[in-house]
Formats: sequence, C-alpha cells, structure tokens
Amino acid sequence: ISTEVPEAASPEEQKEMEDKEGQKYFDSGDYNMAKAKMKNKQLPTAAPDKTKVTVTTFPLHRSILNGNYLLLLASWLAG
Amino acid sequence: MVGWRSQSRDLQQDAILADRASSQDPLGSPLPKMIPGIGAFTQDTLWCFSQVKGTMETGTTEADIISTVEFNHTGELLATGDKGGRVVIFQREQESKNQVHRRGEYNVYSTFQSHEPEFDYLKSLEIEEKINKIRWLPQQNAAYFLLSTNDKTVKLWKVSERDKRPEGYNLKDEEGRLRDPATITTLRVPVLRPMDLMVEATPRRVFANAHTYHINSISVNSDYETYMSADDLRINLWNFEITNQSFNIVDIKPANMEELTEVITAAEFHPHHCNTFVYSSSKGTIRLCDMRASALCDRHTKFFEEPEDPSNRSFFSEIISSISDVKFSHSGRYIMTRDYLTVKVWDLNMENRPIETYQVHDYLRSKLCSLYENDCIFDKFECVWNGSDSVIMTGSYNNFFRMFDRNTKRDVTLEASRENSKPRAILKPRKVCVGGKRRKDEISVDSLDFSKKILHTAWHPSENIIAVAATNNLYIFQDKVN
Repeated sequence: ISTEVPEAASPEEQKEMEDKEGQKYFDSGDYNMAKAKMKNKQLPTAAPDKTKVTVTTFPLHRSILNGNYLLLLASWLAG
Repeated sequence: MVGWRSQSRDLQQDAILADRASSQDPLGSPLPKMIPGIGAFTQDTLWCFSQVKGTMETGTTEADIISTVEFNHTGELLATGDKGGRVVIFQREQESKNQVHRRGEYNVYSTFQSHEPEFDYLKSLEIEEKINKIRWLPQQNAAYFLLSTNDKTVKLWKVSERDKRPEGYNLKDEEGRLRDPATITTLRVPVLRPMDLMVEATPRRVFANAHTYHINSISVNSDYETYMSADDLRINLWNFEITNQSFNIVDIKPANMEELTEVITAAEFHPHHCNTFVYSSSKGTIRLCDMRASALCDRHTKFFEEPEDPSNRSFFSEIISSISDVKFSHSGRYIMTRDYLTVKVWDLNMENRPIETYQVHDYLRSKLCSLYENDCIFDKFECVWNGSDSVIMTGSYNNFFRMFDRNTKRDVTLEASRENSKPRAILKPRKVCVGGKRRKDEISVDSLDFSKKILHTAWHPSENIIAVAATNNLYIFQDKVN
C-alpha cells in the first residue's frame, strides 16, 4: 500500500508561496492551511445591524488637519 | 465696588444698569427708541428669552441634534435641519393689535424628511442623512423655496399652502369614489371651497452625483438662477432648472493625492455681485474669485491671509487656523471668518490682514492639547452678522454664545439654558474665570461642559431676534420690548 506523501516544496515553489510577510511554507498543503486560517479570522460575525446605523464617512477635512499635525509632530520628534 | 470691574465691559451688564436707572427716572421719560444695531444712539440691547423648541429630556436621540439654522429673507420663516435628515420650518405669528408688548412667536409651520440615509455600494460607505446646510431662496410667489443638503445631494424643496379644495366633481363623489356614469343626469362646475390650512412640502429638484467629497456649503447666487455647492476639494455651479449637469468652477484636487495639504471649508456668493464668490480653506486663507475671469476659477482674484503671529505658534497653530465658516456682510463690503479661537472681519479691499479680530474663548489656548484629545479642536463653529452689520455673533462651549459690537468694541457672553427660560426673562451675562479666585457668578474653564457646544446660530435679517441651536434644542431670544 502506498500513501501519498507530499514532497517538500522546492525553493522555487517556496518563493511562490511566500506571502507579504515573507512567511515560508513547507508545501502547498501548509500554505492552504494557513490561508484557510486567515480566511476564518476574517469572517463577519453577524449581518450588519439595520437598527444601528454606523456611519463610516470620509472626513477629508479632519484627516488633512490631523495629517498635517502628525507630520509636524513626527518631524519634531525626529529632529 | 468699582475696582472689580473688568476691562472689557459687558454690553448686557451696562444695558441692565441703564435700564434700572431709567426706570427710576422721576420724570418718567421713556428710553430712547431702540433701533436695532444702527447708529451712535443705540441703546445697548437687552436680550430676553422668547421660546425654546425641543425635548427637555436629558437623553438625546442623535437624530434630533440640530445641524443647521436659517432665517428666510424676511425673517418670517425659520428653518432647522437635524442629524436625522429632517427639516422643521417655524413661522412667525402675526403680531396682534391687542398684544403690543408680545412680539410674534415662532410656531411650527411644516416638518418633512428631506434626506434619507443612503449606502454607496461602490465605496462601501454610508452616506449620512444629516442636513449640513439650508439656504432659502428669496420669495417670488406665494410658495417658499429652500435648498437643503447632506454630504452628497442637494435638494430644492417647495413649501406651499393649500387652503381651498375643489368640491362638486361630476365623475367622483365627495369621498373620491367613482360614480356610475349612468346615475349622472346633470352637469355642474366644481367650485373651490375653503378648507383647513394645509402646508405641503414637495421636492422639486434633486441635484445628485456631483460631489465625490462631502458638501460643506451651498450658496444661492444673487441672480436667483444659479447656486453653488462646495465640498472639500471642488465647487460646482448649478442652475436651478438643470439637475443632470453642473459646472465645476473650483478644483483644488492635486494630481497626486499625497500632495494634498489644504481643503475647502466654506464658500459663499457675494450678496450683490453675481460673478463674485469666496471660499475659505483649512489653512486659514480666503480666496475671492471672479467667474468672469475664466471658466475654472482655480486662480483667485484676491487672496486673504494674515501673517502668522510667531509668539502664538504652537503645534496646534495650523489646526486652529482652519476656517470653519465664512460670511459676507449684508453690505457686501466685508467678510467674516471663524476659526477655532477667533472671529475676524476682513475688508475686501485689504488682503494682507483682517481689520478686526475678536477673541471668542482665548482661555482655551492653553487647553489645546486636551481639546485635540477629545476631538473638540475639530468643532466647526459658524458665525453670523446682524441685519445692519454692526454686531456679529458666534457660539462657544457650555452653551455659551458671544456677541461683538463692532462700533462700541464691547462684547457679551450669554447662555442658552433651560434655567434662564422664563418668558421674557432677561439673559444675564456670563463670565469665564481664567485662573485665581473665581467669583460667585463666574464659571471656571475646567468646569465648562465641552459636550454642550453652540455651533449654529442665526440672526433675523432686520430685527433683534436670534435663533441659537443647543444640541437638540432651539432657543429663540429677542431684545426687550419697552
């Protein structure tokens, strides 16, 4: 009886499977397991509550003022 | 007890003293006739409570928070918009001959849902239904027209009265059911009969899909044919009759958004010159543009900026210099701007500095760090002129609002609160104590309630009647009728 044993990934294959953080995977099975885990974490917990309206606006004005302030703070902290 | 008098003299305090003195005048000579805000012979104005609208409950529903207040051009109507997208219009009752000492009160005239919450599916963003601004059109017939806007869409509403209804149809009976034609043997002409007054609000135009960013201002042009809407980066010109097109007249969006450092914060048309408008920025500058110069008014005609005072420089200098409101004077000669700590009056003929600067709440200058942490530093206060451009008003925290008399250079701080809400009760001037010994009537800076902010106020176009929005309550104050 022969069972299928996954071969370790070659360096080229490992490079392909490297994700953004440079995490290396042993083989494609390992890679798929890791991806599945990440997907599970991102599952929405529940359908958005229609009674509670949460507003995600795009306050450009606020972000500009904040941004300018944080830049100033950063440059002060740097030098 | 002369020593304790502070340098800046309260308008209200002096007025109260003068009033008491004259009422004890043995000759019984009447006070000089009050001409609202005009000329050197103005008796200092005494402000009294008139009305308050809104619930007294402490738990406020967010939807009830008033987000804009505006009188119409005659002052007969007063409109408010709230966070729930509703518009409530109050109408001043006719002054009756037998109640000379009671000025016309404002009663609810019409209430309607102007904007509903929307969802932008492409960007996965909710679009708030909060009414950012209401602007009235001048009345040209029996109906009233106003523009109301939320972050994305401007709507033109027609508010009209119906006090007659047709009766005596041939094909329908009085309940509206169709009559069997076989039963009709005679013809009659329907007649108009009086009915209970009904006020209807109908949306006449919807100006949508023209703004990528949030609309902060709308302004009706003096030609009464066009108006403009301004968002953070662009200003569009609309014709009232055309909803599927608008002209872009200002575009400050850089090719690379990472280079963006400045946004448009407010914009307004000149009250008389239909080709002129101004817009303010988050960097404390104002640009005046002439639409005759070019189709795209990216290059300003005038640029108003005050050189920075190096002694006042702090980390928060740029944030607090952001202009939250800009308003032309009724005369069209001046503009008033509001930034976090001051109100400034600029002469259109002088670009390098304002002609007047008024401190609204300078005691907050040392508290800017905590005001940044609790987000209050981003609050956008509005400012208004009185009808004669002699007095300006703006709001502050703790439900305080401030008035500055441009002629006498005196100012007063008043409070919109339920405690001072007895009919015709005279408002007592308030004072904030900066440090050291706090006197009995004063309130210390640390005791100020920063959740009670007065961002929106309005002044009647010709009389001394003001409307002050304090969270979910609308206060109306009038000057004392002698």
